[in-house]
Amino acid sequence: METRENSESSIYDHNHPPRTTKTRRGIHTPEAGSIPIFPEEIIVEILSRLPVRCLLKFRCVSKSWRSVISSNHFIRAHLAVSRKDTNFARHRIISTVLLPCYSLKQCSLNSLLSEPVADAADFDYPMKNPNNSVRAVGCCNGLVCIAINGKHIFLWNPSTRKHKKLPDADERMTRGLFITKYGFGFDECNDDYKVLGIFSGFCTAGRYETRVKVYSLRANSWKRIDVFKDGLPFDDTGKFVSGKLHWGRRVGFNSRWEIVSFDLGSEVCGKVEQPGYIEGGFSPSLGVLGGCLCVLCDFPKTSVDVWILREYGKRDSWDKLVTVPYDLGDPWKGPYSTPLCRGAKGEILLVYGSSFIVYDPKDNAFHRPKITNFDTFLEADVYVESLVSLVPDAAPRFKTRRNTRHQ
Amino acid sequence: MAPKNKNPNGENVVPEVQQKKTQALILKSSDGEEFSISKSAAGLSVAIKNMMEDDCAGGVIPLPLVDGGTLARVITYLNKHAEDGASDEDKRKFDEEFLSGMEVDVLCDVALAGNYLDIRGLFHDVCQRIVNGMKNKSVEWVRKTFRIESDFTAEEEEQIKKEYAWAWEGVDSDAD
Repeated sequence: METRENSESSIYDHNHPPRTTKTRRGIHTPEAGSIPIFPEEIIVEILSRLPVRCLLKFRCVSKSWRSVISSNHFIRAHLAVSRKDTNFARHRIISTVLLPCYSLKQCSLNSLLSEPVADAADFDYPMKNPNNSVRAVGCCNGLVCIAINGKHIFLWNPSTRKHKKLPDADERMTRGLFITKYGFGFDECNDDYKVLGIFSGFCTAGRYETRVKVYSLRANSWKRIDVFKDGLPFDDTGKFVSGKLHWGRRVGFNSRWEIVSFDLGSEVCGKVEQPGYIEGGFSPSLGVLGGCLCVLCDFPKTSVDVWILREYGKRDSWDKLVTVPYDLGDPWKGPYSTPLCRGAKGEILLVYGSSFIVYDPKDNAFHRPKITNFDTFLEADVYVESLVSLVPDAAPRFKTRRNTRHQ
Repeated sequence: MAPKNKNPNGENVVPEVQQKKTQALILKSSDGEEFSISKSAAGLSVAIKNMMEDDCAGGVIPLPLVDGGTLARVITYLNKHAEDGASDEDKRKFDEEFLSGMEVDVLCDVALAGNYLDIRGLFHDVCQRIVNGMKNKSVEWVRKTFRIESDFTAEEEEQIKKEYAWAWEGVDSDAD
């Protein structure tokens, strides 16, 4: 298990008195030509820009460095720096690959966007076995929620290679075919990671039944909740934005499409008002770009409109980000699905069938990134490298402000 | 001591901006060196700006936490960034050259000064420079460079290494 120490511990070398900066008392070089002893804020500034792998190694430097690197304060600061990086150096794509066998692969988002050829790498994920089906069902703060054979659920940090198996969600699942939908996100109010599972199947009495359960990492248990009575989500996985999970669904006589949300803090369902658009051919699909909720509205064989909710909770802030035409040279013209990221120059990375495509609206140009060690994939998501631990700290950090961003 | 201005090589220079802008003030380093700088350049440091607004306007601003060599470097940076007509591209090129010649100990001094004087752009660039040099380095290199003595016993260190043994794969040798 992971080592934790008091987050307030000092970084200072034991042989030197602590100094502070920004006051006139603080810094000076102790002797000419030598390296000054850095105040903690500068050490944190430097360490927060290092990759996770380096940090795991540098825990060995001294007790004070280990204590800083393990502190929740630092883990949050490091995550914030990684997330803000416009070069996406710490962002990675995670994909469920089908050939030659079911597995998860990862690839640098930066190289996918900016290099001619990207290289995918295999993962060592829990219960990895060619006979097991695997799906990444959600990413949040560097943690990935994966489902093996549709019933064994794990929370996993691919960057620290730590994982936690969740207790079985429903004893009935072992007995028959079940349809399962998931959502994974962070409940900032309770400083807790939660998984929502929607389990549908035939129960022992032969009746088709749906049970909705929510798992709390802090409690390490599932609890049944009474939601979605007015209609189940259509999408398989919920999109995490602003402390809530989001799915599309169809309800009512005219099968109206709507966006339903589940607040991980209050555990209450709600709806998100949609942009003033015209629906295309099939159901719109949801996505997340730069921490904002998106709706993809497809006009078959013509184009896709990408709408973005710039400010959560404000209907006026829906904005048509870009219209992505279908490549005329491509005979398939199948629908674009998950939007994965928007680059610094406005280019947008989308999942297109079983490949990736980058569309640059400025030049109206398409680019299909080449990836070695990679083949047909089922789905893809983006996660950001983090040190986030799967062992909740003893004292939850209560907070009411909502600014958690996805990825 | 007469006010003077030095470039990092210790040569006295009179920056162009200073000739154009008559309003100047004097910064005094920890080792008593005095440097003349235009108010517009000095104002790029949030800390100096606050001191100017407080009570030091027109006078000498003592910076007891920054030595003369480091202050000369910081002033070179501030002058370039306050230069009339310097494009963002010019500044970016200047920053690149300015920092690329510095050894890690000098970078550390400039980082401390940048943080103390609250010059965010300089501080962030210098930190990034230090980080770039650290990425694939060994624990021993970090200890040597930052003058940190390990306070772990050999057993403790072995235990910590074991927890993430894979993180040690492909690390540079101790020499940089």
